[in-house]
Amino acid sequence: MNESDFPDDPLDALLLANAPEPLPDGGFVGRTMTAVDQAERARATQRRTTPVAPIVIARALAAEHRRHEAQARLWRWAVAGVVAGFALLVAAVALSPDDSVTVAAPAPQQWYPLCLLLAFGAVWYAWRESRRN
Amino acid sequence: MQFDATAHAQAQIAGWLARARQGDRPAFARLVQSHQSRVRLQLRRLTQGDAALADDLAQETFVQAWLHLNDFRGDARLATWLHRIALTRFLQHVRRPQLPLEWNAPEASAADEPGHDPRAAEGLTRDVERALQSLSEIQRLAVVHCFHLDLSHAEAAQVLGLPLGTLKSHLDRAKSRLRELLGAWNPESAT
Repeated sequence: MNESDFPDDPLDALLLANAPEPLPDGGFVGRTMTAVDQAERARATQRRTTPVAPIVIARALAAEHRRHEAQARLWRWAVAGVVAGFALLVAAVALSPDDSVTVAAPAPQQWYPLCLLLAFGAVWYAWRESRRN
Repeated sequence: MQFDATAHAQAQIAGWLARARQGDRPAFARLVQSHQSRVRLQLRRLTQGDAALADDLAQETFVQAWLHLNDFRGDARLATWLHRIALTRFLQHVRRPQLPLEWNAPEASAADEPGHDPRAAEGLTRDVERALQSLSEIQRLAVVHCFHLDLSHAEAAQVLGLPLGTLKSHLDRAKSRLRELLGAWNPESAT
């Protein structure tokens, strides 16, 4: 394997001839394979997913609970708003002294501003939810 | 015939390597068995003959090799890769970033004394060893890696992290120095 600039150099031959004798195993391979097994076990342990601490789980659950409560509250207020509006409508019709208050569906083009407002509201709500997640 | 034996050994090592990469520990044990001597010899040289420390570092070398076996691309011989890991482990142990490239002035030794005959009682091997000790560290490592660890110049340069030209330069200077120190040795009478 060795390459020499002086193929017939006696010094090269001398150095090669005086190379140390190969070392006997003397249990080295066995000890090394034991160390390899230990290293492999340590690596396998590191690879395993680190368990989540209970306090972290509790905090996540509490945050999720708060978010759920906020959504339920919002839903309840929305339903209450619709019910109150309908009740106001019924009351206004029922209490009008000379039946001058009537219920009439508006023309389709009169719905456009309300649709636009609702669309903006929906986009804003979706944006806020996406930021929260 | 010798070529056949070398090719057979290389094929065997390639087979063990392929199996070891798939997690076959007995195959890796065969690789350790076939390379332990040269890695331990390299580390004994690096640790100035501290056999216990050399064996510890050699063990760490093989553990590192096992853990990073899939990083071995096969561009070089496995032995070259192992020697490189061993050298890196040694440098980490002594907390040195790299080998010193400067000339270390050798301490005066009996071999330097004028009129010293290397064929005297202590024997030729002892004289060669003493002459090697008088080289600078990098020159000694260049000689050891090229002549004692069966590495080509290119492989030794790769292990030591030196450009090939620099390694050859160190080797030439080392051999000039060795010729001076072993000048009284007569190869004709020794063979």
